[in-house]
Amino acid sequence: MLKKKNEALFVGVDIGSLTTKAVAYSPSGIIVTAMIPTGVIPEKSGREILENVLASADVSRKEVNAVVATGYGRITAEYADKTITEITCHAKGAHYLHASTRTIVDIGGQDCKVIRLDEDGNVADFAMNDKCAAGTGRFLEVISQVFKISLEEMGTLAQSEAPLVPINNTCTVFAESEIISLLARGERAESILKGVFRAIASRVSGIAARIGVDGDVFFSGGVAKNCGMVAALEEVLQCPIVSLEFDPQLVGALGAAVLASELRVKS
Amino acid sequence: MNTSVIAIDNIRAAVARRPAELAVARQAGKKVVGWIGYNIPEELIHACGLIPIRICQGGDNRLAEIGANYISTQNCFFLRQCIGLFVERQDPYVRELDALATDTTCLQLYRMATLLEHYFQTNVIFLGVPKNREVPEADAYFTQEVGQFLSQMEKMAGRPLDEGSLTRTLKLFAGIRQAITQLYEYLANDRPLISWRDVLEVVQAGYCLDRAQYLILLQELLGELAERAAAPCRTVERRVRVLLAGSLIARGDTKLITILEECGARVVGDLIWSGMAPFVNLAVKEYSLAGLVAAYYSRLPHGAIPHMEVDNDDRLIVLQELAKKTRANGIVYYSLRYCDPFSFKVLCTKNAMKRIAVPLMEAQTEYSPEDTENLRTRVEAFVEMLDCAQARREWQDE
Repeated sequence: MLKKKNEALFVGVDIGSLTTKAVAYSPSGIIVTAMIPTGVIPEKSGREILENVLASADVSRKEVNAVVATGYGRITAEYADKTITEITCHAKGAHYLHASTRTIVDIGGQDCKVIRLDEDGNVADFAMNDKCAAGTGRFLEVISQVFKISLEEMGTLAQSEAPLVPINNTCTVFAESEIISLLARGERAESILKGVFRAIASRVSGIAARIGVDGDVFFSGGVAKNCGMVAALEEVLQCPIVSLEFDPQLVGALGAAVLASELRVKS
Repeated sequence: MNTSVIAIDNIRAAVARRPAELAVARQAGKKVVGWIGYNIPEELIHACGLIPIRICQGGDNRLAEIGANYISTQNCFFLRQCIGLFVERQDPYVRELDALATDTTCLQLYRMATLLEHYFQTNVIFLGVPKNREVPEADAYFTQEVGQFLSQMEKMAGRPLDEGSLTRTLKLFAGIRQAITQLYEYLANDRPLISWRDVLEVVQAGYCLDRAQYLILLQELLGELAERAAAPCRTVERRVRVLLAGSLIARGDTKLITILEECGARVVGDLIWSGMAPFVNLAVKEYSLAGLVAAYYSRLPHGAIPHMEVDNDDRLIVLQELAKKTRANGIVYYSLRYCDPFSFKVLCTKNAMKRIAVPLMEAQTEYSPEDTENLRTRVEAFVEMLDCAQARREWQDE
């Protein structure tokens, strides 16, 4: 989508632990999106993605009305007009995409959050994992390395009719050992993967129990792209997950861009 | 926040001088009784002519790791650090102790004290605390335990407790409690007259300073704050008002304080056992041993004391009242990892606060720095949530 002439432009930059995303947004809609792996220096990744979206939108930094940075690398984003946590940004992004969202499950590279929203898309409550990265994107990456398959293939395999083999650990290190033992015992990869997704979903369910799940449930973050994870979450939470065309990994950046536009309105 | 309060600088200077003063006092034959606990009647240590020192150091992951060589890592970081302090004996107060008094309120604490006794031959004096105050035997048991505690203090002091000395001590401590209460009132003032970081430092200075000198310093501080409060002020305070509750935040444990400040929150009060909690509902109505026992017996119960009926739990009622009194926008509930007495109560506390429309967020953390950014995200998101709610209310009012 192209920006209309003289229309305001806002950019949201989400510097996550594994990927850095950006969304350029104008009141008429989403102009352009971009995503790159987060490098060793998050500040550099943030600047790079900002340049990428500006180049794709064919605008200069001066033409951008406001930039909001979010994600764990936000504190390094001196180029942004404001930094806002990913919790607030995911809420805003999910509400923008699906206004009746009342619960968000966000599983990113190294953390997992459950967020409750009010009818205006404001955060009403949230719960988040602590420092342990169990059951997050990084966890799935390690498991995919054990099976030597892609994350997408993991999801597809887990959709098979094979019986589930329970996985007792969501600790990345212990789960890896447990899976190797199960493979050595002759268990099928499909069954083990089903167990992996179920274990993560159960952990998310534990976090969700602290604040409750209500209304339409939205799944954001990179892990939401995995069909195996979506199915496991629907099963454990016993509710359907909102299905949209928009890339769930970009929801935080989108929310940041929408919040940037609200900053402009307020000022 | 302008922290150049002269009286606080004086308190800092007094704290800096204190280790040397203690060493001199001990050389002159005085005895030092350290205490870690929640129901130690410190007044009895003082009234017997002994020097009470509350051991309350935290925030040092290295010491907690050393402590973990002696106690399971599923005990709270504060207690693990306490053991670390006794292993190293570098802390000036731990070095000067003649005995350590502790109580059985928190069973992890009791376990820690037995380990200190076993591994480091620390002279530990235990005070039994009734777990169930609903039964009639509880009162008699506590009275007996305090009596035994007093006997041990008298033995250490080499003389029986003098009634006049007890009365003077009780008056002195009542004065300190009153001054601390006033200090917290200034903290909750519409205008930011003093930061919570400073209040905590002042309260915790009282753990080691000579108590008579401490009261003078407190009064000096209150005088200065009164002057500040009377001075004209044009700035409008917009920061969200946060109340702290949950586990103890010991001296040196600054992770959460720093994050709260950096996130732009203003802490207007607390109900933690290293802050205001020990002063709540502790009123000695009669200046006697019986009056002291009665006051400790009926004080605000610590989180480790069981109470099965949520609806009439004093701790929740006091927190609700404090939230209203300080006009807090929200509560940050500090949950130190493996501090079970408080970690297990998050949900019921959150639900109780929901009934008065005050949101609560659990800030579970530990002394290691690994989770700093994760904690920052949680606190910052909570502050954003409160800020947004406050803006909506202001908009509706307009």
